[in-house]
Amino acid sequence: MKKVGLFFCQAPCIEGPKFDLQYLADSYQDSAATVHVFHEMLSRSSIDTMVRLISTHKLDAVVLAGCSPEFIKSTIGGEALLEELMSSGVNPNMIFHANLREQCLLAHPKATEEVLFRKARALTDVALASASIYKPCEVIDEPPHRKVLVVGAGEAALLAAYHLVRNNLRVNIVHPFDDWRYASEYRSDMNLSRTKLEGSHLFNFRTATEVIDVAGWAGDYEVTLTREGESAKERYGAIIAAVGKDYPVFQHLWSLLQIDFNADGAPQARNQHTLATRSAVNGISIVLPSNAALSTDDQFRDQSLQAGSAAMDIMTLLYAPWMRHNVAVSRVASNECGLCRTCTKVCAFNACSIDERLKTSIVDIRRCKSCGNCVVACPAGARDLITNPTGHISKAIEIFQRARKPEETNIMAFLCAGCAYRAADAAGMDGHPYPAGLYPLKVVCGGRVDMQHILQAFETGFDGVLLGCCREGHCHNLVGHLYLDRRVVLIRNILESRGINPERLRILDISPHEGELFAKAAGEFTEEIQRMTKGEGR
Amino acid sequence: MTAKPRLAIFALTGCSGCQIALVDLKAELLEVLEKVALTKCSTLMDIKEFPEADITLLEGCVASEKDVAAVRQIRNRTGKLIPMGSCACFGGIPGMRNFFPVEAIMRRSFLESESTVDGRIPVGPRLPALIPHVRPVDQVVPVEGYIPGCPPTTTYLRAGLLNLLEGKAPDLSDKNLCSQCGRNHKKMTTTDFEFITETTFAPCELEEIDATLCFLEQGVPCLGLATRAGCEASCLKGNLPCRGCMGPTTDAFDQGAKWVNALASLLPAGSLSLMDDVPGLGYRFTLSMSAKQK
Ligand code: SF4
Ligand code: SF4
Ligand code: SF4
Ligand code: SF4
Ligand code: SF4
Repeated sequence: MKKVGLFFCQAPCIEGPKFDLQYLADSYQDSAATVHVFHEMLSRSSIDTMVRLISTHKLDAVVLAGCSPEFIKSTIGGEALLEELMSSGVNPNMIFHANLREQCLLAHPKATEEVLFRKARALTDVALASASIYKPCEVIDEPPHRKVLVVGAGEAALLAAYHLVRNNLRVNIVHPFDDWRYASEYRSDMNLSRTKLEGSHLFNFRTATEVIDVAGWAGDYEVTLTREGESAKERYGAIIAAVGKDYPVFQHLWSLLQIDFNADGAPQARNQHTLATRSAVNGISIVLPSNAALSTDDQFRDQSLQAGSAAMDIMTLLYAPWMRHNVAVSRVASNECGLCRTCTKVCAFNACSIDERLKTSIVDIRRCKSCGNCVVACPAGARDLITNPTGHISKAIEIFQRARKPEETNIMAFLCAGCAYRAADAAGMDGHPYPAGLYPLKVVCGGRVDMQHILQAFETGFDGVLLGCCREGHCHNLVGHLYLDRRVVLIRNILESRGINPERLRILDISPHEGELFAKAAGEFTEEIQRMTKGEGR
Repeated sequence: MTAKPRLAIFALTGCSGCQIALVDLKAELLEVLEKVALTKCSTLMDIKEFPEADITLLEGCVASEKDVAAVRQIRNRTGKLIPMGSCACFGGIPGMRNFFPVEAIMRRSFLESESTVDGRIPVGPRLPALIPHVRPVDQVVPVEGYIPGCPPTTTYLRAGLLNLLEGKAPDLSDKNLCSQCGRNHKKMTTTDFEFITETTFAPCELEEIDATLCFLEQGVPCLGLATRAGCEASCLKGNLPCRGCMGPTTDAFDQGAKWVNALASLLPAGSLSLMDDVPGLGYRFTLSMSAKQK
């Protein structure tokens, strides 16, 4: 039996006349979990108390009930909290979140306390259920490769390289053009930096070269580069992408590096205010194109500041004596794999292959991005995802189904972590309320949505199912959205054959910051379902 | 000498195919029969009442009030109750009527079918009333194992019986059928964002069926990849795609949905949804275990 700490955060934004968090916490007093309510979870004293509770109660898992996991991941304070929890012995895969702030209290300002309590309790139950279903993931500690790949031909690429080389890191700049591409006004200064760089044995520069593949993780990336038809694999500790929109394979490179996009198709930083050059992936920093409306001077300044910041990100990372990598991958139960080869066809990252001797599919842990597409596709159910196991999704639907009130309109929402889940957060944060009958479950990717779970949701009584995923072409996992669409075509036939109106299943394409759109879509969908179910009884 | 275990074979709503499969064991059946005291089996003997038994193999699904009563009575009088065949295990072919309400089924069968003249829906005190949805046995009473297949192959049935006589549950493979099929793959071995074929075919539409190549790669929907191994790929050996009679694998809880998950990643979903009866193909044997309509 795993020991769980259930930590509530009573941050000012949660406290309010309508909701008594202490009452919610008290409702867990009889559970096996160690329950504690913090006034403000991200404060120094709270973190100290958590660390103490973890060691005195020998906790294996922690549930953080308060703000969104995405908020925690993308803020400096949140990152510090997670790091401390992990260094006090909690496995990275055993930290769970109940998103009470963005996706409950802030999202339903007009809901009654009864409704809020029921939903908050369900969200907490779902997070608690994780603790008994999830398994710890393997962690690999390795010293990082102190070598950086910089992709780009502009001033930012050059300046980032300049900073890194001056700090004794080896740097290789590559780009597909024949020459540099910086604005002519700054040519003399740039040329000088370049001369300095070229004098250093740490520096290397290759034109007409393209990145065609990236595998591995922060500290140990394996990058495949091609030049004049010849390709070679090289190892790097980190990557900086400093490419403008004129870059010929812009979109492709961004996908290889799993960079987020906003609604306009522009790349996004992890946090545009405080982590402006960090991408969502550790060890990959980005220099975003400058606002074209700025003067050339200001654009140049922006590029050089970003270059400095990106170089700083990477130096902090690569100068650590060792780096920790969480092996979050898909797993194959080899006694269940019948070699149908569906996974080798669908994995967009070439991470699946067949071991003919062992007669099973195997996963390349350096390539697997833990997107879950193969887990869904595997018709034998032989695969599972360490970071988002099938059993937990079923359990969550069950918990939500018990929490819902049949007389209300209830929607089971599967929200992809990259986009839709963050859009739901944004709805709460930016004050765009939506109906409380929407029960949100974060899934790693649209490609992780299993048609079995859609049927389960309908069969257990949900009135609608919302599949929130990225906008077309923005999928972190390249094909998650594509395969979701393909599956939904067929599952609609199946719903119809059972007398369930296929319109009760909806896909919502959305970008992370589109909170208003999320709330609007959730509201409209609820109304439409009400009209549908009234008309036909089901 | 300890008494031989009493074996009973009984049928609910089915086609007797499973019982025939048992008789198909021919000489081998005699070996089995030596080890048991057969107390009931309508294909071999004429006993009306349901006797007490240590092991009961139960064919057919629960489709009527009469079946419900029978299955409860059998449960009370039996040590180990084992559903035999896909009807008993998953609802099977008769379970496909769950796509429709009972009234529609009756209308279609007795009034609207093309060959009917002056039809009427039969009623009478001796006719068992149909329950609204067909159920597999384990949705009505607990069971101690399964011998799936429509019908189970004789080899599989014999192995299951021998297991039972040794006090074990019948073996169920955890793998999907492709493990026993052994056809080759050419396109599915590498990542591809496109479908593996441009359109889909029924086997009879192919000019020639390549007996060594996976049906999916020839554009033919095969259910083998979402089906439990155990039949030694009988249909594939006859150069026909698998229709899924062994039911879902251990870690899949819905055969049709699991099939759709995989199929939509392989064959053109649009053409499948237009040309093929996806629900009918995916749930030919398992609809009533999937749709738990109340
Ligand atoms: S499909 Fe996704 S989860 Fe599966 S092996 Fe490939 S990268 Fe990993
Ligand atoms: S999809 Fe599943 S059963 Fe098929 S080869 Fe891959 S792991 Fe094995
Ligand atoms: S499982 Fe197949 S063979 Fe057995 S009774 Fe049912 S329909 Fe007949
Ligand atoms: S999908 Fe069908 S034809 Fe292909 S390998 Fe599996 S069982 Fe054989
Ligand atoms: S190949 Fe498929 S349909 Fe044929 S017997 Fe085997 S499991 Fe049943």
